[in-house]
Amino acid sequence: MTDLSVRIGDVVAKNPVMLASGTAGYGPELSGGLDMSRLGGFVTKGIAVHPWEGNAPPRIAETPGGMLNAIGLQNVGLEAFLEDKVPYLNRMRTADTVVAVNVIGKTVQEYHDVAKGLRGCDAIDALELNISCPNIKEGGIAFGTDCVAAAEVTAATVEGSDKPVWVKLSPNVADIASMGVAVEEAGAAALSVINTLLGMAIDLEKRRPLLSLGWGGLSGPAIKPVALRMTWQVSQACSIPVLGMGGIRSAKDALEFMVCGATAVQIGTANFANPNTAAEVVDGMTTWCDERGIERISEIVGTLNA
Amino acid sequence: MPDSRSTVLENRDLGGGVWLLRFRDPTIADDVGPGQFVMIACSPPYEPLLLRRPFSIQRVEGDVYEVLYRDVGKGTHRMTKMQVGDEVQVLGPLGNSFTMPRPDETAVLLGGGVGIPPMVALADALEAAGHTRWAAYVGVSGIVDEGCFVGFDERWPNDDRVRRATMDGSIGFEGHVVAAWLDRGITGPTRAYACGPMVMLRAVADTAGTHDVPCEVSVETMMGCGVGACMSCVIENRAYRDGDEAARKSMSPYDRWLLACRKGPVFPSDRIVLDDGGFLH
Ligand SMILES: Cc1cc2nc3c(=O)[nH]c(=O)nc-3n(C[C@H](O)[C@H](O)[C@H](O)COP(=O)(O)OP(=O)(O)OC[C@H]3O[C@@H](n4cnc5c(N)ncnc54)[C@H](O)[C@@H]3O)c2cc1C
Ligand SMILES: Cc1cc2nc3c(=O)[nH]c(=O)nc-3n(C[C@H](O)[C@H](O)[C@H](O)COP(=O)(O)O)c2cc1C
Ligand code: FES
Repeated sequence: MTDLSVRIGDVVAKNPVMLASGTAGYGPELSGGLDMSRLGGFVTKGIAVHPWEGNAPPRIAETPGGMLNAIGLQNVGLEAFLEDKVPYLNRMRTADTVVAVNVIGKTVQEYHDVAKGLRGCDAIDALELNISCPNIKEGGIAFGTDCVAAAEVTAATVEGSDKPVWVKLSPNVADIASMGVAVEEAGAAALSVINTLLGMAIDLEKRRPLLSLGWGGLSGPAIKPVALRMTWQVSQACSIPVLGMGGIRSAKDALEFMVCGATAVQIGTANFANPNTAAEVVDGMTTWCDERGIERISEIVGTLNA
Repeated sequence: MPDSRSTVLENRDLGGGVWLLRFRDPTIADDVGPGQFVMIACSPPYEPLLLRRPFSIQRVEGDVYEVLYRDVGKGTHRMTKMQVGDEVQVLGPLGNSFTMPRPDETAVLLGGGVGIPPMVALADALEAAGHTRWAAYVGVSGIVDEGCFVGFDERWPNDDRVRRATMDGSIGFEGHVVAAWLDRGITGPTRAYACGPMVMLRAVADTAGTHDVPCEVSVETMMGCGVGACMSCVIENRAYRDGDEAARKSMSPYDRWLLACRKGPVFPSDRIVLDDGGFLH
C-alpha cells in the first residue's frame, strides 16, 4: 500500500489530509461524524491572547458553489484554550494526528504573546498564523496584504515560539508569491494557501447585505481554481512546504493541489456538507495511488507538467 | 450524534408550500429529546448545494421520525423532490431539549407556522411522562397554512387542550397565539414553551415576563454545521447586552454570542436577546 506520510519541515504527518481552521472547532465538535484518528492533521479555530466576541449575526450566507462567512474570529482566548481545549488535542496527538493552533492578533505583540503562551505545550506540533486579521495599529489593514507587516508579524511569532510557525496567506493581494517569499525570509516553516476571498451577497428585495458585516470571506468549491493557481505560484516561488486548501471535497481535488506543489492539504467548508469528507479523501488518495503504482504520495508533490 | 442515512418513507404535500417528511432511521430515532433537530443534506454531496439545513424533529415512533417543512428556498425546494425510498444523509439528533415542567405546573405550548413541530414533540414527551396538564396554542396566517397543524391534528384531533389560531380567523381563534393564550387566561403555576418567528417569540417572552411565567423558546438561526464547529448560529446573550459595566467585566467577551446549535436551540427566554435585526423573518 502507498505510503501516505508527508513531511512539513520537521513535522511528520501520517497522511496529507488536515482539517482547516475555523471549520472544525477545537476538535470534539466534528467527532460525531468523523473518526478524528483518520486525520493527518487538525488546525484549531483561531486563538487570540484575549477572548474575542466576534460579529453580530447573520455570520454566514450560502452562495453558488460556496459560502461567505464573517464570524469575526470569536474565540475563547489563550487562557481558556489551555485549560479547556488542550486535553482533547492531547488525545488527538496520541492518535498520531498533527495538531496546529491557528493564531490571531490585532497587533504584532499579540501574536507574539500567543506564541509565548503556547511554549512548552506538548499537545501542539505547530502554529499557523492567520495574517488576514486587521492590524489596528495600521488603521485596520490586514497584516496579510502588506509584505513588510506580514514579515514583521511572522518574525515576532517565530521569536516567541518553540514550535514551527506556518503562515496562512491571504489571497486578497495582487502578488501572493511575493508575500510567500517575504514570510519565508522572516522564518516561516511552511505556508498555508489560501485563506478566504473577500466577497459580498445581498438580498435584492430588502436591498441589504446578507451578512451583518456587509461582506465576508468566500470559501468552498467556488474558490478552488483561485486556490490552485496560488498554490502553484507560491510553491514555485518558495522553498518551504505549502499546505494547499480552498474548495477541496474529494481525493481528486486534494491530489490536484499536491500536483500543483502542496505537500499537504486542508479541508474546510466541505466538512459542513459532509463531516466524513476528510476520511473519504484519505481513502480516495490511497486507491488512486495504488491504482497507479505510486509508492509514496510525496512523489507526486509539484509534478505538474507546466 | 452520528451522521447517518435516513430512508424516505413519505414526503407529503400538505398544501400552501408545507410538507411532511417521514424517515426511517433507527440511529437517529433512537434517543430524541423534545426540541432537538437534525441537519438534512438536501442534495447529494457532489451537487452544487453545499450546506445542510436544520429542521426540528416533530415526532418519533419506533425507528421512524418526521419533520415538517416549508418550501422557502433552494434547499427546502430540493426536499420537495425527495422520493420514497431515497436515502438522505442526516446528522442528528442535535442540540438541547426543553426542560420538563414541575408536576403542579401547566405547560403552555405556543407554536407559530413551521415553529409548531417542536411543540408537537414536547406534547408527545409530556404525555409519555404522564404530564397531562398542558395546553397548546398553535397559529398560522390562514387556512392555506393549515398543513402546519398536522402534528396536533393527527395526534389530538378533538382535544380541548389544543387551540388553533389564524390571523384571518379562517380556522379557530382569530388572532395570534399569544392572544389565544391570554383569551383563555393564565391560572395557577404555569410554564411556557414557544417556537416560531422572532416577533412571536418576543411577544411570548414579554407576556411570560409580565405574568412571572418561566419560559423557554427555541430559536432558528442560520446554521452552517449544527455541531458547534463553524460558530455561525449565534444569538445574543441578554446578560451581556443588558448587564452593567461590572456584570460585563465579569464575563468573557466570548460569551456575548451563544451558539444556538450547542447551547440551544432551546433557551430560557430571558437569557437571550430576541431580535435578529430583521434578517430572517
Ligand atoms: C434549529 C432549527 C430548526 C428548524 N426547524 C424547522 C422546521 O421544523 N421546519 C421548517 O420549515 N423550517 C425549520 N427551520 C428553518 C429552516 O432551516 C430554513 O427554512 C431552511 O434552512 C431554509 O433553507 P432553504 O435552502 O430552503 O432556504 P435558502 O434558499 O437558504 O433561503 C431562503 C429564505 O429562507 C430564509 N432562511 C434560511 N435559513 C433560515 C433559518 N435557519 N431560519 C429561518 N429562515 C431561514 C432565508 O433568510 C431566506 O429568506 C429550522 C431552523 C433551525 C435553525
Ligand atoms: C466558517 C469559517 C471559519 C473560518 N475561520 C478561520 C479561522 O479562524 N482562521 C483561519 O485562518 N481561517 C479560517 N477560515 C478559512 C479556512 O480555514 C480555509 O482557509 C478556507 O475556508 C478555504 O478552504 P475551504 O474552501 O476548504 O473552506 C474559516 C473558514 C470558514 C468557512
Ligand atoms: S451551526 Fe455551526 S456552530 Fe452552530
